Amino acid sequence: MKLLGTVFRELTGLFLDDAFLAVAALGTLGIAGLLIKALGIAPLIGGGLLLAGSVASLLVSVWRGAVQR
Amino acid sequence: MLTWTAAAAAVAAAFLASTVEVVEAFTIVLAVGSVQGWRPAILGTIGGLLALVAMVVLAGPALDRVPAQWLELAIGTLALLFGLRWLRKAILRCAGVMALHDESAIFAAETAALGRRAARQWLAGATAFQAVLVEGLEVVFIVIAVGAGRGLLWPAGLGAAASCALVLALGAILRRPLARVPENTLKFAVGVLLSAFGVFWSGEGLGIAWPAGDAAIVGGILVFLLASLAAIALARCAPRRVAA
Repeated sequence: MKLLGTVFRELTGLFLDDAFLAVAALGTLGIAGLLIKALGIAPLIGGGLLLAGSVASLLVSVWRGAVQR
Repeated sequence: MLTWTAAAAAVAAAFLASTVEVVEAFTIVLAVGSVQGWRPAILGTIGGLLALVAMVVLAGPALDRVPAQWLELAIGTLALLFGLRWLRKAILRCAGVMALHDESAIFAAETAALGRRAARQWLAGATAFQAVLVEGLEVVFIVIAVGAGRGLLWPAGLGAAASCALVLALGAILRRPLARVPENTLKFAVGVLLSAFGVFWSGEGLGIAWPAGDAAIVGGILVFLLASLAAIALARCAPRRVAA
C-alpha cells in the first residue's frame, strides 16, 4: 500500500506542483474551449489565446515563485 | 500523417526527458548495489521493469479505443501541465531562486539510509524496484505524451530506449552517480518541448487547425523558449520576501 501511495503521489506530482500554475493552465484551456465550441470564435484565435494564456500562466507562476522564496 | 518535424521533436523530447528520469533511477539503483550488493539491486530493477512492461501491455491497447480528438485533448492537457511544471522549476533553478538537483547528494543520502538498514536485502531490492517503477512510469508517460495521437509512439519509444541505453552504458563504465549530466538544462529543454506539444495537441483536440500543420510545433517551441528566457530574467529581478 505504501508503494501504491508513493507511485500515486509521484504520478500526480508529475502534473501538479504549483497549484496556481495548474489552475491557470487548465482555466486557459477551459476558456479557449468554451470560446471555440460554445461561442464559435475562429479556432485560430482560440489557439492564439491558448498559447498566450499558457505563456502568461507560466510567467505569473515564475514571478510568484520567485517573490515567495 | 507522420512528419519529420513532429517525429524529430518527439524523439528529442523523449530522449532528453527520459535521460533525466533514468539518471535519477540509476542513482538509487547504484546506491542499493554499492551498499547491499548487486543481487538485490539487479532483482529490484528487473522486477520494476517487468511491472512497467505489464502495465504498458495491459493499458496500452486501451489508448486505441479512445477517439483521436479526445486522446489529443487529454494527452495535450497532461503534456502542457507536465511541461509547464518542469519549465517553471528549471527557470527558478536557473535564476538561482531554487537549489539545483544534486545526484551526488542524493546518492550520499540514499547510501546512508540503506547503510542504517543493514542486512535487510529485501528492503534494498524494494528500494531499487520502487525507483525503477516510479521513474519508469514517468518515462512511459512522456513517451505517450509526445507519441500518442499522431502515430509517433515508435519514434518517441526509440528516443527513450536510446536514452536508457546511453545512461546504463555510462553508468556501467563510471560506476558512480551521473552528477555531471546537466539535469536542469535538460529539464528546461524538455519543458519547452512538452509545453509546445501540449498547446499543439490540446488545441487540435479543441478543433484548432494550426497554420502549417505540425510545423506549428516549432513556432510553439520558439514562443516558449523566448518566454522562458524572459522568465529567467524576471525571476532574477523579482523582490524576495525576507524571513522575519
